Amino acid sequence: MRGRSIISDFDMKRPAVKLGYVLSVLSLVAVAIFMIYPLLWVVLNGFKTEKEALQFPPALLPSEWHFSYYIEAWTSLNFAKYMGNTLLLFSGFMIIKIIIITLAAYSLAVLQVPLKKGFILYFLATLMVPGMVLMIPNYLTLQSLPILGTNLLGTYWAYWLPGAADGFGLFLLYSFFLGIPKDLFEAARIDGASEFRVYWQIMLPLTKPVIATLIIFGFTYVWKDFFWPLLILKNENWPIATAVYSAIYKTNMGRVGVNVQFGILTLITIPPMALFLFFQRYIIQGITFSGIKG
Amino acid sequence: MEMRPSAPYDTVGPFKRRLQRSRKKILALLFLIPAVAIFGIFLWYPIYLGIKIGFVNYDLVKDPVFVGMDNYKTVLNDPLLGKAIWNTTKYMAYGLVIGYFLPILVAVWIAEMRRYQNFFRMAVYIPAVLPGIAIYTLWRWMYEPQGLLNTWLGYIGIHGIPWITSGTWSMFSMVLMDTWAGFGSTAILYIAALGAISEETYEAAEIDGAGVWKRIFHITIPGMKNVMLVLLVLQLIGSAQAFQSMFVVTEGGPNNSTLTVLYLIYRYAFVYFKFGPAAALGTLFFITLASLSAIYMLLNRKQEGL
Repeated sequence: MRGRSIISDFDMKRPAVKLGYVLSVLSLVAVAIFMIYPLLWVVLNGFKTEKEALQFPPALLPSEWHFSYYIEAWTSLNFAKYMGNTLLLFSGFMIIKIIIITLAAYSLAVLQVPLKKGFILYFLATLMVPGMVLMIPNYLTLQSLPILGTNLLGTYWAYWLPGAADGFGLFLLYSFFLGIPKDLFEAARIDGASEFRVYWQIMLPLTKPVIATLIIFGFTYVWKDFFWPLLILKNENWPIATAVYSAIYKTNMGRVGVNVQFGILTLITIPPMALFLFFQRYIIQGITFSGIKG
Repeated sequence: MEMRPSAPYDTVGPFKRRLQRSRKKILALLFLIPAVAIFGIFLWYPIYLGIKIGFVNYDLVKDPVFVGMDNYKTVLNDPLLGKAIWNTTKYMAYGLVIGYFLPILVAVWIAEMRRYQNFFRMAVYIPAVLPGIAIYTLWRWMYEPQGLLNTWLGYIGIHGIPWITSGTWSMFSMVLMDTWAGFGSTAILYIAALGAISEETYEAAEIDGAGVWKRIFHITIPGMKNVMLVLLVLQLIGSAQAFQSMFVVTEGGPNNSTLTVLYLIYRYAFVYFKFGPAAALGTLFFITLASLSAIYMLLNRKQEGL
């Protein structure tokens, strides 16, 4: 940790500064409570009876702990199936993306591609495309691919393939490759390794930290994404977030009790939360390093 | 041709060398082709398709017919468009007032903490990893007439705010919710920028007699200026695309008070099944946002050049 920021130990001796400091601490504590309290409330509401979850004024702790509502939350929605779908969506999304963008980044950064500047512009310009605005044409493209005319809607491919068009990840890898000394590849080539082997056995292992960052962000992204799968997939291959959206908002609300809804929300929050607590350092570094991507 | 220091094995004739070089080029292209195809099909082609469909009558059943500017006329004459633009502007403006300065302030506070910096950083960042659907549902309950927020406000004498049931409050409530969910990841970026300001600068200023406020205005704020600028543009681009929160929490209501431009596009396509007007509006919106993005790219490049 740093020794000091704006306020030094010496400043702290002045009452006005000390008061300001205490006020900032209190404000920050208030902010932290405002962030954490609602989350605790969700988790604890899952243990309450429906009547208690709806009571006014809302209490934080349940008067009795009912674990059975969590079991009901788990069984009310085919969790195992939808979590399986989410993992399948995530794996395909990640594998295809990593293969495609590492190959391209490697080619642009290390190999001698003709028209290199043109290709870089071709990818770089896509960073300016605001994602959601293309919702309609993206949907229509998946409905009928150019030239082939194939309809991908309702298949996993509809989610996997467009996910690989990640200009952000491509440039993250590109700048990483540029930073690796060229001698490393030259040496391998002299030893007679093919370009593909150099990529596979030297490059890919080196990029592990970048790929780890991409995987962590990719997981949070896929886990959160409920809207796009709702449009392009069908019930059998929905991820968990979409299934929860549909269970709470679209099917008969009376069927799922409020306390059980809170239980469901807690359950879908656990995996990304666990990942976050576990890889906290990576994630914070990743955001700082890459600018944006929350 | 560029001159490259020849590797030891490069002792072959000029013809063979040229052959080798073009083989290398072909190989490099092979590595690049999958990405070129994917980006082409799923980013460049949809842009072209969006423009094209804006000019045709596209209803999934009949063959598309060229209709000129009809789709554009349809959306531009839609009284809801003005409302949607106004609502989106409102969302962006509230976002600037509430959402833009909060992370800056919180980042400065956190960077000043003598202890528990990590805890606070985590506390504000946590919602960024939560599924949106959990956040929206949680907030819908917080916004209940007798929910958590009104209970809390009741303690300080404010009663019965109609968060999402009144058109006056609904957009503000969307911004409040989205700010809660997103300001932590922005704060992290500011904390990083603050960490880059050297301790010696503060030391030196203090020795020269600069008080705390002076240090804030002459060191801290200039130190964050570039990040502030870039994040301002990013926030504008992001908040212009507001849609999902309203889609879940208010469904655009009450009385279309949370209908945004993107929501209107969605409605044209997936509620009225009029893809032509949807694409036309999408194209207009795209042009607006792409120009904002261009500014962002320029700023970003400038910042990297510093």
